[in-house]
Amino acid sequence: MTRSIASTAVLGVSADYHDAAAAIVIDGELVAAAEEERFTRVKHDASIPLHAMQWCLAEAGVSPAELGSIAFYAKPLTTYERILATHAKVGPRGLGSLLPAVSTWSRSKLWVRERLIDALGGDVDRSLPITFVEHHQSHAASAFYASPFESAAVLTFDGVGEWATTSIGLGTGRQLRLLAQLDFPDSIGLLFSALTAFCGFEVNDGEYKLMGLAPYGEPRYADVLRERVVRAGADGSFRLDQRYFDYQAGRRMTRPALAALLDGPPQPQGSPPGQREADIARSAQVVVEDLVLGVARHAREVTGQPRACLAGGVALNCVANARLRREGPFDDLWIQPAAGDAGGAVGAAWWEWHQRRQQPRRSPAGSDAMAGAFLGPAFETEEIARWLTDLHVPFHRCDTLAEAASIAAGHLAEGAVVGWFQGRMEFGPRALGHRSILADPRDPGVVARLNLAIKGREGFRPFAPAVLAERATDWFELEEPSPYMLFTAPVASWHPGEAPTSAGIGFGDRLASVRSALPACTHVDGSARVQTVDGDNPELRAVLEAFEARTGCPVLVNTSFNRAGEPIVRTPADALRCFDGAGLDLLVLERCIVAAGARSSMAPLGAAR
Amino acid sequence: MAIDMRPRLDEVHDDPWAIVPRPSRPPVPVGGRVAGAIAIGTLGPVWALLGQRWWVGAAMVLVVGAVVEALLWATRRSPVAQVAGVVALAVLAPLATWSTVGRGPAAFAVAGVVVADAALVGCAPAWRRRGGGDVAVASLAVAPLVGAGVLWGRGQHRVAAVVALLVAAGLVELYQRRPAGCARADARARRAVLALATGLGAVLLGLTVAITLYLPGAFGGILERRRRRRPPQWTERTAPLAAERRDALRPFAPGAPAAVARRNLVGVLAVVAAVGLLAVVVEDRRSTPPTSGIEVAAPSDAVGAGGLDLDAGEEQLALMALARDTKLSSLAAYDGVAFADAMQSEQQQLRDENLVAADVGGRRVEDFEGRYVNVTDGERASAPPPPCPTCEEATVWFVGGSAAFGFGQRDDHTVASALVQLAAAEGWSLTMRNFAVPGLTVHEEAEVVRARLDAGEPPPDVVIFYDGYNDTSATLMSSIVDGVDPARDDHLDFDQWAMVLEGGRDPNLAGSPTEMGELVADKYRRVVRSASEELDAVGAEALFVYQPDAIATAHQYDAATPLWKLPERFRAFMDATSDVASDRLAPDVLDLRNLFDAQPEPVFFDLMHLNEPGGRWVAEAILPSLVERLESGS
Repeated sequence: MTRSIASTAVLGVSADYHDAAAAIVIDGELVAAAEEERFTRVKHDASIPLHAMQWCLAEAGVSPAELGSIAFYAKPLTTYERILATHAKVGPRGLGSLLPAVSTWSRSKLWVRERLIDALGGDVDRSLPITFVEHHQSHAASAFYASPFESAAVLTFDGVGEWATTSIGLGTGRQLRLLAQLDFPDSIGLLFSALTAFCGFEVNDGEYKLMGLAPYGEPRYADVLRERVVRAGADGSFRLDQRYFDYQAGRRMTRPALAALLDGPPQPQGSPPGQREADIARSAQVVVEDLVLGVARHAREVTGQPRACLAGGVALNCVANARLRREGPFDDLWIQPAAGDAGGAVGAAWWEWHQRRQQPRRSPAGSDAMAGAFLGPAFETEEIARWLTDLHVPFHRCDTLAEAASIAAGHLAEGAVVGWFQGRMEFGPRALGHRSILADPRDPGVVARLNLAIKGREGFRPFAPAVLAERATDWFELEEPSPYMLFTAPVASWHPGEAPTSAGIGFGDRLASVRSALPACTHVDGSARVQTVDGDNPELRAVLEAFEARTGCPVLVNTSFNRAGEPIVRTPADALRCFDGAGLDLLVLERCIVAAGARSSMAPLGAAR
Repeated sequence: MAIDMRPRLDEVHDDPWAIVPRPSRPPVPVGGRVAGAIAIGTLGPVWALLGQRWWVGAAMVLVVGAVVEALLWATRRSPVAQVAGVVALAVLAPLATWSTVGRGPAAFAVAGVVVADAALVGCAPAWRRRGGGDVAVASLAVAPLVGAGVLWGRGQHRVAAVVALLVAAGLVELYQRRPAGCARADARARRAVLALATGLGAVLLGLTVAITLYLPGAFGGILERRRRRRPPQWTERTAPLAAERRDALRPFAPGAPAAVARRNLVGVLAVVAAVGLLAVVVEDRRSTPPTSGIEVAAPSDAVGAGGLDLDAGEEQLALMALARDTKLSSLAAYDGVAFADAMQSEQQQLRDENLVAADVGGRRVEDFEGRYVNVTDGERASAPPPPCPTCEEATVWFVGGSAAFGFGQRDDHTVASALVQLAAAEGWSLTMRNFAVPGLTVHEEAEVVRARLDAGEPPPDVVIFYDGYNDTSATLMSSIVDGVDPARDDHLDFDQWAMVLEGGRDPNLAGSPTEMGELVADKYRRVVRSASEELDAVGAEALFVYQPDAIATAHQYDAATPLWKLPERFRAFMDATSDVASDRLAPDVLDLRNLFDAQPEPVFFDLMHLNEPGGRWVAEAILPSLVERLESGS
C-alpha cells in the first residue's frame, strides 16, 4: 500500500560517468539504494539507473507522482564546461576525444532533467523539482550525513567532479559546507588511475589491483614522483605536472615523459605485471598516502574537528585509510562504504533534504545511517523455495538461520567454497556478507582456487577476512572496528621473515608462501583488509560463529559473489548462475541450500546440523 | 534426497527477477498506421491537385500530423511537448532549407517526415532521445517520402513524386512484414547516415572549435607554464550556503567571481568569433553573383506590378495581400523555376520598402541590393553587352512601369537585358539604362526622361517607352471616378480601383470602350508628340511600345493567377478599351498587345507581368524597331 509521504521522498541519482545508482531518502532516512549494474548485469553501468530508480521507488512504496524531488549528483553543464575549457587548453591534441565527447554530451548527458523524467514514466509530474548537487557536495553529503558524527571534518577525494578533485568541508548538525577544493587537473584519483593504466590495468576498474600489487614492490619511484611529478604544498595542496599526463586530452592517461622517469614504456594493458610495475604500484601507493595525509592535516587545521568522514573513490583505498587512521590527525574516522560515484546518489538525496530543504538531521546517536550498507533488494525464503522447486533444482530447506549457518560452516570447515546469499543486497563495491563467497582462510590453497578457478582474478591478490568483531583483536592488530572492510590491519600471526621477497618468484607463489594462521587472507606484507562483523550483520555472524564452533577460528574469507567481469549478484537466479558457472561447492539462498553435483548427496548436509 | 545434477539456469525466463526489457509504447496496428500515413501524407498533394493553395495543404498535413501524434501518444508522453516538437520542426526545417529548395518543398519534406514519424512510431524528438537504440522511425521510408515532397514541391516530375510516395508506403509495409531484415538494413543505413553526418559535423565542429575554443585557448601552453611555476593552493569556496541552495536547481555552478569573469570573457570571445564567422558566410553569400553574367553597372528604376499603388483601397489591399501570398513557383508561368520564390520575395521587399514618393514621376525606386534585383540611383541593373569589338556602340534608355522594370524577371532577364543580348547579334553593343518605375504612366515616364536630361545626363541614342496597360487602366478609372477630362494627365491610383470595384460601378459610366480607348489614345499620343520633339531636340530617337497583357489572350488570361482576375464585365471592358487604344496608336506606337495569342506556353503571372521567356519574346518583337531607330540615328 502506498504510504502517504507527501513531499518527503527524495530520489537520489548518479549516472553518466560510472557506477550509476539510485537511492531514496524519506524524511531524512535512507530507505533503499542500489547500483544499476546489479540490475542490468553490465559492470559499472553508467546509464540512467532506470531499474534502480524503479526498484527504489517500489521498495519505498512511493509512486513517481509522490516524489518530492529528485537530486542528481552532479552539475552537468559545469562538467561540460570543464571538458570544453580543458580541450581549449590542450588544443588539437584533444580533438580525437573532443568530438565524441561533444557528441555524447549534446545528445545525452546535458539533458539529465528530461532523461530522468522520461525514466520515471508518465506518472511523474513534469514540473518535479530536480536538484543538481555538485559532485563533491554529493560525496561530502554521503560521508557526513551517513556518519555517526554530530560534527566532523569532511574530506572527499576522487578523479574529478565538475572541477573539484579534492575538497575539504565542515559538517555540523544538518549544515554541511565545503570550505576549499583543489581543481582539475590536480587529482589524487587521476594520479592513481594514471599509474594504474601505466601498469597495464584498466582505469576505473584496476585501481584495486594496483593497490593489491603494491605490497610486492619497493617504493623506489616514490622520490622521483614526489620531486618531478607531484608538487605538494605545505598546506596539503598539491599540483600534478601535466607534462607527464595526458588525461586532459582524453585518450590516454600518461605521456612519454613519465615513461622516462619510470624506466620504460607503460605496460601493455592486460599484460601481467612484473617487478617494475609492483615498484611503481608501491610508489604510487606511498605518494597517494602522503597526499591524503597532507590534505587531512590541513583539514584538521581548517576545521578544528577531531573527527573526519571521507568519501570519493580514493577513500576506497583501504591501505591509505589505515595509514590515515594510524598516522593521521583525527581521533576518529568514518568512511562511506559506497565511497565511489554510486554513493553520490545517496549524498545528493541527503544534500537535497538537509541543505536545500533545510530539514533537520536525526541525531546519529553513535551509529551510522547506512544500515550496514544492506540497502538493496532482498528475497524471501518462500519465494526462493518455490522458484527452485519450479526449476526442479534439488535443495534442502532449513528451518532457521542457525541451521543454514551450521550446514555452511560444516562444509567450509571441510574446504568447501560457499555462495552465501542472505537478506538485502549490499550498496557499494564491497560484499559484506549478504552476497558473498565464503571460504576457510586457514587453507593456503583457497587463494589459488578462488582467484584462478572461481573468480578469475589475478593470482597475486589475497582475499579479505571477515571476523567476529569481538575476536578481531585476537587475529588482527586492529584498534577500531571495520564493518565495511575499508581498512587494512596487520595479521597477528604473520611471520614476516618467512615470506620470500626475491625477484624472479611469481607474485602468486610469493603470496602462497606467506606464513600466517590465515594464509588465504594475509598479504605478503602481513596485512589484511578486515571486515569486523557485529550484531548488525546477524547472517554472516551466524556462519562465523558456527565456523568458530567447529574450528576455533572466527574468521572466514569473504569475497564478493560474482565472477570476473560481472557485477555482484542481485537475485537468487544470478546467484545460481554464478554458483553453476564458477564451480562453487554449496549455495545458501536464505534458508535454502543447494549443493553442487559433485557432492551428490544431501546426507552430509543433514549430518552437519 | 539425492542430488544428481548441477542446476542449470540458462534461460532468462527461468529468472523471475530478471530485468525485462522496458515495455515499449503500445503498438498501433500497422495497418492503421500505414493507412494513416498515406491518408495524411496525401492530404497536401490532393489539396494542391484540387487547385487550392499548397501552403494550406502543407499546413493541414502538419496540423493533422501533430494532432495524430498527440492522440496516439498522449498516454505516454506530454502532448504539449510533442506538439511543440512538431511545431519547432515545422518552423525550423523550412527556415533551414527554403533557400535551397524553396519554402513549399521544404514544408512538404518536413510534413513527410512528421507524418511518417507520427504514423509509425512517435515524434522525431523521441527518436533522438532514444539515441537510435530502437528502430524508431522507418528511416528507409523517410528518404523517398522526403524526396516525394521535394519533387512535388518543385513542381517537377509529379509522376516520380507519386512513385516515391508509393515506394515509401511499400517500405513502411515492408517494415511490418520483414521487421528483422528492415532493422538490419535500417541499422546499416543509419550507420551510413550517421557516418556522413558525423563527418560533416566534424568539419563544422572543427571550424567552430578552432575559432571559439582554440583561439582563446591558444595561450594554454603559456598559462600551463605559469601555472606550474605557481605553488599549489586551495581554492576557497566563498559562496554562502543560501546561494548554494538557490543554485541547486541549476545544472551548473555559478562559480567564483574570477571564474565567472574568465568564463564571460571566453563567452564574449566565442560569440564574437561565431558572429564573425556568420558574417563571413553571409557576406560571402551576398557577394556571390546573383545571376550568371550580370554586372550591376548602371542604374534603373521602376516598379509597378501592373498598377500596384501604395494607396490601395481596402478591397484592393486584401487582393494584394492574397496576391502576395501566391508564390510564383505555384503558377504555371514559373513551373519548375527554382529561384522564383526567392526572387519574388526580393521584389516584394523592394515594392514595400524601396518604392517611395517622388517629385518627378510621382514615385521612384530607392537603391536596392539583392540576389536577383539590384537598383542603383533609380536604375534597374541590366545585362552588360557581350564583348563585341566589331559592334557599334549605342545607349538606350528604357522607361515604363513595373513590366518594364522587370517584375517577375531577374536583372539579366528583363526585357531591357534581353534587348542588349539580342542587339549584339545585330551588331549593336548597347549600354542599356532601365529607368522604369512600377506604376508609371507614359506622361510620368516622359517626366523621368526629361528630368534625367535636364540633370545633364548625356542623351541616349534611343528611348524606349514600354507601357500601355497602366495608361488604359489609369484613364479608365479616373474617368469613372472623377469624370472624363481629355486634358488631364492620369496616373494610376488603386483607391480608384477599389472604389470602382467595391462599389460595383458600371465600367460604362464614363463612356463606351471605344470612347475610352480613343481617350486613352489621345492622351498617349500627346506624350508621343511632346516626348518625340524633346528627344529629337537632343538627337535621340523615341520608340513607343504598347505592351502585351494577359487580358488580350484568353488562354494566357486563364493561366494567370486567379487572384488577379477581374470581374468579367471589367475584363471585357478593359480588353475592348485596350484594343481601341492600341489600334488608334499604331503605327506610331508598336502594338504588342496580342503578341502571345499564338504562344501556348503561359508567360503571365498576373495581368501584365511576364516571366523571363515572355520578356525575351517581347524583346525579340521590339528589336527590329529598335535597330531601325539606331541605324537611322547613326
